[in-house]
Amino acid sequence: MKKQLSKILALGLSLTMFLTACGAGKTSTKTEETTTGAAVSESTTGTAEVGEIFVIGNPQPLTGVNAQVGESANMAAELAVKVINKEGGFNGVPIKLVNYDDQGSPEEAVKIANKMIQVDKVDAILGSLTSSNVLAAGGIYNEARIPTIGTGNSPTWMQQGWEYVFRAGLNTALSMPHVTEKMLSLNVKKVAVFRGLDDAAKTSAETFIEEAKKAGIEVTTIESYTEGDTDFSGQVAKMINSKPDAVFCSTNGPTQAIFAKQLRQLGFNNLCFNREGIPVDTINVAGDAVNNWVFAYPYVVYSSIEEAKDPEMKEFLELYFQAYGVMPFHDCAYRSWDAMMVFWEASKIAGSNDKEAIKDAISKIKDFKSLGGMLDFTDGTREGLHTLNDYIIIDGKYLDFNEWLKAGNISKLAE
Amino acid sequence: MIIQILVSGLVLGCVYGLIALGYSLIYKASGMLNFTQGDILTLGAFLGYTFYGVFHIPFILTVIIVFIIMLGFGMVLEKGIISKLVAKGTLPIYTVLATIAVSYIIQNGSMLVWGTQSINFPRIFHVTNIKILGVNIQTEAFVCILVSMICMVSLHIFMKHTRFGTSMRAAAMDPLAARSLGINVSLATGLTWGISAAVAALAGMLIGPLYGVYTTLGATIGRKGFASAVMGGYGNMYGAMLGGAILGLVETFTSAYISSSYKDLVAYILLITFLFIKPTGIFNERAIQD
Repeated sequence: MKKQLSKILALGLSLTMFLTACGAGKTSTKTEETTTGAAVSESTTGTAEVGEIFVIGNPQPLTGVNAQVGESANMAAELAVKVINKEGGFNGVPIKLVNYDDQGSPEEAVKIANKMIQVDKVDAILGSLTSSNVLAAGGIYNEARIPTIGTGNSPTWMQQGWEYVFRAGLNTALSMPHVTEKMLSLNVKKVAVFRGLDDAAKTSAETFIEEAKKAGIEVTTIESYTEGDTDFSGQVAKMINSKPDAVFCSTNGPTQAIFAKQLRQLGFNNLCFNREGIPVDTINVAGDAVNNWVFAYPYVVYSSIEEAKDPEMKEFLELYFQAYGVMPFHDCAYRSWDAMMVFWEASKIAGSNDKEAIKDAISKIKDFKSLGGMLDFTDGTREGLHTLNDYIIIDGKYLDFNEWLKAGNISKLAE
Repeated sequence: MIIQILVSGLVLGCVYGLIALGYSLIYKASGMLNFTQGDILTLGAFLGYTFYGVFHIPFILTVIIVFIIMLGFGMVLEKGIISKLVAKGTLPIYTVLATIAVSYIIQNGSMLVWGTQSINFPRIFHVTNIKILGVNIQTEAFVCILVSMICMVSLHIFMKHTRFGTSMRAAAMDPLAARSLGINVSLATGLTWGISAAVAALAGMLIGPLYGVYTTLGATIGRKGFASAVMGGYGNMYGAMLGGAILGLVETFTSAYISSSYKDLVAYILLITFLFIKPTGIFNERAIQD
């Protein structure tokens, strides 16, 4: 009996460990082959021989806290591969994604970067959505002269001057002047800052503080937290005591919802500004606490196709839903899709799949409609997106902030 | 504002205390360290969410079901892994490492089952806030403090004043002598691990509505719970709760009146200070020197 019990337990544990190791397998929809650490999968539609395929390396976090975000990004990228190959690929050559699990770790990102260049002989790189990973591996891609479109939002990796590295999504540094401008128009004179210590959260907060100072907005206090913390009442108390007109929040993951709840719980009911879009799961957990939270971002995550008004977005959501039966979980799906479309457009402009030609062609893309708005790479910054939309959350819904202001709701908030 | 900070610190401290109770209980009854406590809290929160939030089973019933499941889980963990390693004569450090491995398995397993997004644990009470000393406190937070106190007293009574609790302590002190007196050492040890897991799961269900549920919910809490147990006196139930309360209050007040950047620094300096100056903790529990 004892022997049987231990056999069952051993089997159970082995099964759990096996499932753990295959975590990446579950998160990537079309994974054919996975290994722990650097999970690899390849997907292509078309039957071209090796050497006749345009290979795009796609490192994304497929395990760890951002696994579901990475999965969403990969699903959009796979969908793009399908659509592009159906239309003849890049200049008649089918394209293929080589997916890797970078685990959100810069160390892993560097290992994967070298493998993609030396073993997979990639022609282009998409991602990662983790900015610190792009920062760690971007130099390697640049040295190997591989056109890369990173999908993280942090300004840091684009400040390195890597001429082969581009971005089709938002640079939060570009959105900060917009946020401070908005604050000034609302007569916000004093703001308290709450920030995380990871690269994206810290850099966004620093850029915001700089912009706020330039705009003459007083930063009353800067509070930080360590990833994994669950109580922020001390920080919130300090922020409220500094009597700010608004709060600027630069956080990641589950912290946002908990912070929002505690901020409201301790009595701060004014406007809060977030460094980027607020995902649906945060709204679900925070509930009413994220009412009157504002953010400037290119897009929001829609719960249904009907909610989207932009025809490009609607078309993408229809394709996505048709392919997977679910809506994109995170805006990283939009970022990956847009990046793939930029590569496609560049291949058309270049008229060739040569890496150098693709790189040069990206810099020529102008007035290109993406899910985030019109893309323009011609200003030499290698940033494509220069426009933003303002949103406010009211009763769990994303509303156009400017429309909300026009309706005179700000006076109701003051009451 | 100071009362609000005080209450927040106490809630946080009580959560640390509940985890610390588990560490202390296991050490007291089996002389071992179990680093799965934090992730068991997460698992408890996920199970609570599943029964209460998905299957809409009444909360009290959910607590009972999860308590029983986690009691079984703790016992299986002890019987299936820990006691096997002990029987092989492995060094105590390997059992500690095994518990760390199990904690990662729980974390990744939860990720596979429930995903990596934050999940909303529905509210337990219809009354959102209650007013104490003029400040609004979330009802769940108040209940968290109350339940922690009840757990502390009941576990202390159980360990010190019941026949089975005495058997557990005897089993930890000298298993051979305990066996010769007819004590079922195996059951006593297994049950200790079970109770610790159940208490951690209870903490998870209580903080679920406050913080939401996600895979790393218990990771930091687990570490802080361990620090609380050491500060209070490793192996002492009252010490566990007091250590938790001190740590929670120190963290919250440091954030509010010094700087949030120094919060963890101050908390862990306090732990090191205790280890050097008073390793037996506030309650002078001699467990560390055993």
